[in-house]
Amino acid sequence: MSHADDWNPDDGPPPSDDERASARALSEALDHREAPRDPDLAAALSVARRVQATAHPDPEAARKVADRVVSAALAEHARPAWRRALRGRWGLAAVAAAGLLAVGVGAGVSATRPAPRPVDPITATTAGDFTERLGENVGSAPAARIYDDRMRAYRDRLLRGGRR
Amino acid sequence: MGAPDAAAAEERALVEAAKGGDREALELLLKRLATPLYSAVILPRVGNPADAEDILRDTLLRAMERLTTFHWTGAGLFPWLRQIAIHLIVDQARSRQRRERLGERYEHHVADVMPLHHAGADEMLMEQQERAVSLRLMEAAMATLNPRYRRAVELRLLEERSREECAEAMGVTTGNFDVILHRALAALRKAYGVR
Repeated sequence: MSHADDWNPDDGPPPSDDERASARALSEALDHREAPRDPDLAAALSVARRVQATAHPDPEAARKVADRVVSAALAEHARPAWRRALRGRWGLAAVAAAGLLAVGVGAGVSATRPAPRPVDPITATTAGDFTERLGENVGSAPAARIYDDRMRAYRDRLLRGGRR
Repeated sequence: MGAPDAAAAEERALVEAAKGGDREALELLLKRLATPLYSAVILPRVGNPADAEDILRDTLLRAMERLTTFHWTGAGLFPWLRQIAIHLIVDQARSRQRRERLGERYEHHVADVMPLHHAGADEMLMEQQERAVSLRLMEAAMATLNPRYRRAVELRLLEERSREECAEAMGVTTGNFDVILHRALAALRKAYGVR
């Protein structure tokens, strides 16, 4: 639909389609209370709200807002200084960033730690074989156990085709 | 002692008590001054109610942190709170300018049109005085607009007519009225600056 024919030149140069879309979005935003995300639209809406707040104040609504904010500010001021430092979006963002950093560092440290080497069954020993206290009359039992363990591991390896 | 003197003395007593750590005195003071501060100083300069609420909260917190540095004058506590609020508004606007990389540079006028307040003044009186300042600023900004743009703002925002009624009043289609209003607000934004 062409708008070129009905545009009044006294109102400036004819608008582009983009400008028409922005103007329409502003018109809709004026009728709703939510804040738009587009920064240009938000800026234009802010100017409109300034005019409305100046020309049409709402004392009752203002009092409710003010009382609520005063109560919240007094409560916040009563907190310890270190907690007050975390207030607001930036404080919370700092805490979140610190948390992410801690998790990331932890994950990075874990990732760089060398993986445990697979235990060579031939060299593996049972925990107590070499450290077991020699008792009386045990003869060569510990040494025999070591020999048996190692021969068993060697045989198992041969049967698996040399795979460890 | 006349009524204004008594009110000023009462406010001074509350300020001194608050400075000494009396939370009840502090709450009484802030609840009395926060409404005209929000309604007549912050909201007409900021527009967005959520931003205005943030500015009010930050103003009150800053004031509480610095209350011991406040020195009593005949004007009372309100002008001091007002100055804190205006500085925060200017900081917010500058920060937004940097984020949005706006080409225009706005004039920032801080407290150059502050009305004369006196200690113990009635809340409604303070609000009326501040509102008169905001109205003058708005009228001065509107006066710089193209007459068609000014008419669009008057119809839509001051007279609060629907866009269809506005379009009919100006003899244009609703789509074209939207464009005229859009351009009017862009021009008004430049005229307003942050005042």
